[in-house]
Amino acid sequence: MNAPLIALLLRRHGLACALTALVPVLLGVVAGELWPEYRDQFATIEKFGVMKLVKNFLRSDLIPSDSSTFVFQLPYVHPVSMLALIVAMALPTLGWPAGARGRNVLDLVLATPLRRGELVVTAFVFTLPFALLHALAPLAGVALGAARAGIAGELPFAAFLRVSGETFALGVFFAGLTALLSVGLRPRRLSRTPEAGQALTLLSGIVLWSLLAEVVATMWEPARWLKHCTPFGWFEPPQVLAGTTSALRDGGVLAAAGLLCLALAVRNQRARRSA
Amino acid sequence: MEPAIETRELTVRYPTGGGIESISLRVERGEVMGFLGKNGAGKTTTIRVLLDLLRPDSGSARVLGSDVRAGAGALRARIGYLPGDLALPPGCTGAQALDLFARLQRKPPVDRDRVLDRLGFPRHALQRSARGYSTGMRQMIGITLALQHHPELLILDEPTSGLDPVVRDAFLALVREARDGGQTVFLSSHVLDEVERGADRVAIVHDGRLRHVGSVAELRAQAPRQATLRWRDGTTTTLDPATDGAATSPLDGLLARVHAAAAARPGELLDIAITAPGLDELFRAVIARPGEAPT
Repeated sequence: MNAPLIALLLRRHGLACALTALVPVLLGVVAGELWPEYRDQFATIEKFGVMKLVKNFLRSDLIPSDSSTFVFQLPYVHPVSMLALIVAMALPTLGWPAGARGRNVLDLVLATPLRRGELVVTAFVFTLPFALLHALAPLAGVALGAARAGIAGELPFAAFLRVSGETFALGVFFAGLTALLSVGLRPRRLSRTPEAGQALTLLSGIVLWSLLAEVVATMWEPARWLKHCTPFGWFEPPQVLAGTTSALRDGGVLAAAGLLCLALAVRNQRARRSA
Repeated sequence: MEPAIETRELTVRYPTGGGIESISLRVERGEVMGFLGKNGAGKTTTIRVLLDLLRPDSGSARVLGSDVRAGAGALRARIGYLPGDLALPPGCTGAQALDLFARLQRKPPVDRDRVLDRLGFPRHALQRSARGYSTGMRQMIGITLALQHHPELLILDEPTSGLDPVVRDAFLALVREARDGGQTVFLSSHVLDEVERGADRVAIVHDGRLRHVGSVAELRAQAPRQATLRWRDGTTTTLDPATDGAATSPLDGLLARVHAAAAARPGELLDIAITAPGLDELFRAVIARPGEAPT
């Protein structure tokens, strides 16, 4: 790990990575604002057809849809929260090395004693505190929202903390994945194409495919097998809150996959013909 | 003592064509080697291999006595590098960029103030975002980045691009001082004048192949001479074996052609001037020779 590069990353991406963590906090506050109305109008709301979709997605079969836990999982599972987490993980890792390569900064940096693998590991390690921030931000949102709604004592905070653990592991996975995409999948190839664009396109494709597969697997029983083919299939806040799955197991799978991607990224960066 | 740079049969082939082919080069410690070539000749490719930024298809490269791959980080701490297409990390002021690279080099920037002063970089501008710098200012920061930690070897790719003549002179003086202080300078350029003024020896690369290695004086000694005949009627005739493609030695055939020209106009020859060409002409003459091995 390289301290000067960490300092540069902090100056360059620190604020943006931190600000994105406000999204789940705000969603928690919004959940707190919505909860009293939702509880009071539940019977009416349930008549709307759209409620079935939401109930499926938030697993009302595991958590009663009229419970506060059902509503307060929103900061964890909302697509905007997911997007904020992915952006925070991708900014530094796509920036180094792929972005720096495109801006012609990489040669200058790698002409110093900084090693190729060290660069990749540094960008990855830089994301970890922000992964933790993004894991704890929804918890803070839930706490703020619950306090606002006056139900702080009702919510299972220990279970929410376990979901935060899974969120951290999801962050680790995306940091590792973007590190690998940033380095490139074919290290022997001498390409002149700007690789940050390539990596971003691949990441977007993977995320969209994962979201689509997750939705299809959740909504359609015959496609249930698809669920564990995507990172979101191992990120299951409703199941963790309901106690039907182990956050440690799912988080472990995600973190291990992220670390595997990192190891591949380091190997590929070392093996690249052109840094 | 091992040479500062030694490459053997270095070959890099790009999928789209180009690259370098069997470059064998030796740069002694304490000398300034000019690395000349047109755009796309293979200068930057060679330099990137020397810094392990690009892996060759075949051949080997040793820098400061270490294999470029085996030496890795510790070796690069002893090198100062200025890339040809310099870009500074985004979001940095000039001072932050200099501090960042001093920390990355893990060596104190002992020469920073001296280099900045000699180049005439305005100190107040160091606190400004480097994004707003002119090309020349950015290049001055780049030169300072390469020199500030007093490396044993300086690898400078097109160092004077974007510099005005005054700063270019100051830079060339810094290069000479570095040489006098025992540092080695490997300086790539397509500006022949600065190489002539700054380099002890030149290596000329063309179409990825090394075409000539030697001192500027040697290059001159080998270069075909040009004869200018002045006639009594005020006209002149230039005999240039190089452009005629006939030259294999400096005076090859030239005197015979002078005789022939004088004999064709008996009594009219007033004066003869035989001149050695400038580096521009020498360079053109070297790259015009088809497939010649380096001398």
